[in-house]
Order: sequence, then structure tokens, then C-alpha cells
Amino acid sequence: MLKLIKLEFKKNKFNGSLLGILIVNVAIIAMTLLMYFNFGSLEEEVSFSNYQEAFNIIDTFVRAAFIIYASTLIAKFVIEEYRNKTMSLMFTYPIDRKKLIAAKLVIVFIWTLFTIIFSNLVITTIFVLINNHYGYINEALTTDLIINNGLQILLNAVAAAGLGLIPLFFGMLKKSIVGTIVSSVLIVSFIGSNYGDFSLSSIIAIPLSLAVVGILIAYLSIRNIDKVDLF
Amino acid sequence: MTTILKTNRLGKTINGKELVSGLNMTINKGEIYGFLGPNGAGKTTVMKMITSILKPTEGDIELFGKPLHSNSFELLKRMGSIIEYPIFYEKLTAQENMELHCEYMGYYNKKAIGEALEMVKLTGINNKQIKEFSLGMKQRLGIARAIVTKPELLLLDEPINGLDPVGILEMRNLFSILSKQYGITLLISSHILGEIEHIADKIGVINQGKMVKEVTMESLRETSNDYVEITTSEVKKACYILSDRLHISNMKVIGENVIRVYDMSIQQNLIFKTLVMEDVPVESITQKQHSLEDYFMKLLNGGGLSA
Repeated sequence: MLKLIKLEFKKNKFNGSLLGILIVNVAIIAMTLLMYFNFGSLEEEVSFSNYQEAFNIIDTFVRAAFIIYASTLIAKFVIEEYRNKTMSLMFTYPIDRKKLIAAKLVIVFIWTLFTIIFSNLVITTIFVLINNHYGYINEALTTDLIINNGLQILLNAVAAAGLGLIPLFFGMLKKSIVGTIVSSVLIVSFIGSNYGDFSLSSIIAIPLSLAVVGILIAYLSIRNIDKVDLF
Repeated sequence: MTTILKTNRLGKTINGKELVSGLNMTINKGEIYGFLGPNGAGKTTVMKMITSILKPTEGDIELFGKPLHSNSFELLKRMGSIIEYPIFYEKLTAQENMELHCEYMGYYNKKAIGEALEMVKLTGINNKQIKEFSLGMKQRLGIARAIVTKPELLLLDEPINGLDPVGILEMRNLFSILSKQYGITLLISSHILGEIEHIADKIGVINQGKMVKEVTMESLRETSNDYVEITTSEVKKACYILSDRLHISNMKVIGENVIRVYDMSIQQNLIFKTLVMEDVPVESITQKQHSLEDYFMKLLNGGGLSA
């Protein structure tokens, strides 16, 4: 499996993505700060009344961005191989087809997981530093808060990485890149919906089961891959 | 003789359309099998089923003595193929494509790539991306990729497409070398008969998804009937003389002024002399050989296809 993953990297020259992470991060910081400076100074408590809320907003942005990013990776690694017909080459190799696809999905999953955690870390740190200067959020940053928040980010990241695989299912239906990316946007709007303090991902069980659902749906799309024709 | 490939009543129906049906095919070890058929006859479909890209809806395939299932991936290791047209990772170089192929095939002889490129006379292209390649170059690289792992069975679907005449000759020689020196069994499909005729040991003719005829070249050469073709304006008289004086019974009138004499025991100049002596105007007299082309056309016509 490791070898297959290595070959995928070699094949796709997958290294230009660092720039992608940077751009996404800068954009999220810009959006967060825009909200921070607009709402943070208001007397009524809107959305930046405390750290928890701020962190939630950042995390939601980050997950949304990288779930969509994941769908572009699925498009690149899987759907494009179908469209370029190189999949018919791959399928003449003495390797289990499920494994071939799984190697690609492992890359997408781990990459999404990693970038979400990393970006949260970077953006949150920058945010805290800026708040230290302006002080719109008047709250002590306790260890408890950091640990709780860190745990939540971690769980949410796992969920997002799993959910990020769902677009494979829609992309595979018609081998469509557009379908892949559009479905990821729909998924993002689903998980990003906040209902006051309660968001779907605020409980531990939900993110983990969402991750499982995502992986299952992805599996569903390759379940029969050994038995179907490749055109 | 070991059988490398055997299909048993192989069939494929897609969306209610029968592409291949009841196809029996046997390829023995070391053979060059010429797979002939007009465009759309089902050659590629059959080859795709052999490489397990398409799944048969009927019958089965036996490769190296083992049945081919949807999960018999190990069998694929022993095959090399180009199906339809050579497909590469366009953004990578030839070398990178070859390396990837070897890695996926689990073949680690570093020298093999250079050798294969040399065999197809594709050198000095090392840092070019595939997308800059011409069709002929891709075809050569495709063949190189198919042979680099020295497979036991080589499936080549229209391998000479896009090659120039020199290239065609080179590839034809290469196929012979692969067969004779490396003992590789080849299945080569083509709609150009002349190409296969010269190198094939066995010919399978497919039309409208059905195997019309499977025959060894050896038996084909034995049965192939040569004939003498006479062009004359007085066909009736000539026929009479031929049967009366030379006792020829095996002949056929083709069109208005052509006679074909299949009795090869009688010499051509004797026929000519006799006819001239009897004042039959002979415009031409030539000895002809039934080429595979005639045979092929005959088979296809017999199959209900107008040529």
C-alpha cells in the first residue's frame, strides 16, 4: 500500500499543493479578521464574544475550505485518470483495483486531516496574537480551553477528512470533475450550518460517525470496481 | 503444445447490443496469432476482455491454463498489452512512464527500460513529455512498454497504426524477434491483412462479433489455390479448346473475358501456345496466387458482408 501511495505521488508530481495551503490560509485569516474587526468591537455580543466562538468560526472556515480542496484532489487523482483513460492502463496491472483506488483515497484523507489541523493551528495562533493586541475578546486563554478546543478540532478534522471522500461517490457516477467539486460544496454547506450555539459537529459522536459515513460512501463507489466494465 | 489463451463461447453484450458472441479462440505457446477483422468487428472488445478491462457476459477465458476471474490480478502480470491506442501519463517523460509501468508490474530490472526503448528504436527522447510525441512515437513507446517486462503473452491492438513504412517494417521484424528469440506469444490484431500475413502463424478472422475462421498459416498455404488467369475476347471458344485439347476441367469464367484455370499441372506456356494455335486472341495470361486478402474477402462475404 505504501508503495502504491508513493507511486501516486510520483505520477501526479504532487508537490505544488503547499502553495495551495498557503493561499487558503491567507484567505481564511483575511476573512476571520474582517469579521473580527467588524463585529468584535460591537457592544452587543455577535460572534466574537469569546475564544470558543472565534475558534469555532475559524475551524468551520478551515474545514469548509479543505473539504472542497479534497474534492479537487479526488478529481485529480481518481476522476481525471478515468477521463484521460489512464485508468484502463492502471487496471491492466496485477494489482487489486480496490487497492489502487484506496491508495489514492488514503492520500486525500491524510492530506485533508493534516491540512485542517495544521491550518487551524496556524490561523488560531495568529488570531490569538492579534487579539492580544486589540483585545476585543476579553477572556483569559486557559489551558482547559485550549485542550477542549484542540480536541474538538481534532475530531472535526477526522470527520471532515471522512466527509471529504463523499464527493468520490458523486464524481464516479458520471466520471465528472464538476460533479465531484459541486457535491463537496453541498457537503460543506450541510456541515457548516450553525444553529446558534449548537452545530452538528459540536458533539463527539457526530463527527466520528460522519467520518465513518464518508468512508463508507466512498467505499460504496468502488465496491464493484473489479466486476464492472471500464470504457 | 501448451495453450496460452483459450476462450470458450466468449460473448459480450452491452446495452442489449451484442458485440461479441460465441467466440472460440485458441492460442498456443510461441505462436504469433493474427486477429483479423474489419473495423467494428469486435477485435478490441475481445482484447479488452482478455486484459480484464471489460467483463464477459457469456463464456469464459482461460489464460496460462487458469480461468480468468474478475480478481485474477496475478495473471495480468504475465501479459503486456496495447489496447486501442497507447495511453500514457502525458505530463511525464517516456522514461518516467516506463519506470511507473515497471513499478506497477513489479519488475525491477533497471536495464530493461533502455533495452526496450532501443528495440523499438526510440532513443534520445528522454526529457520530452509524452504530449509532445507524435502518434508514431507513442505507438513505439507503447510497444516498448508492453515488452519491457518480457511478458509471456503480448496483446497488440493495431500496433502499426500511425507508423511510417519503415517503422512498419521495423516493428514487423521486432515481432518476429520477440516470438523467436524470447518465445513470447503474440496476439496482434489488424484490419490490414498484408501486415499480418507475413508474420502470423495462425489467423483468426472475426466479423460482426463472431469468429468466422481460425486457421494456421501452414494449412492455408497448402490449400491456397494458385491459378492462371487468361484474358481473351473469345471466352467460349477458349473454354472449349482448353477442355477439349488440354483436358482441363477445373476452370471458371469470371466476368466477360476472363478465365481462371485452377489446374496447375498444365504449364502456362502450353496453354498460351494451344490457344494461339487455335486463333484465340489472348490479351494476357498470368499466373496468380491466392493471397490472404482474397481468402479474407471470401470469408467476409460468406459471412454476409458485402465487400
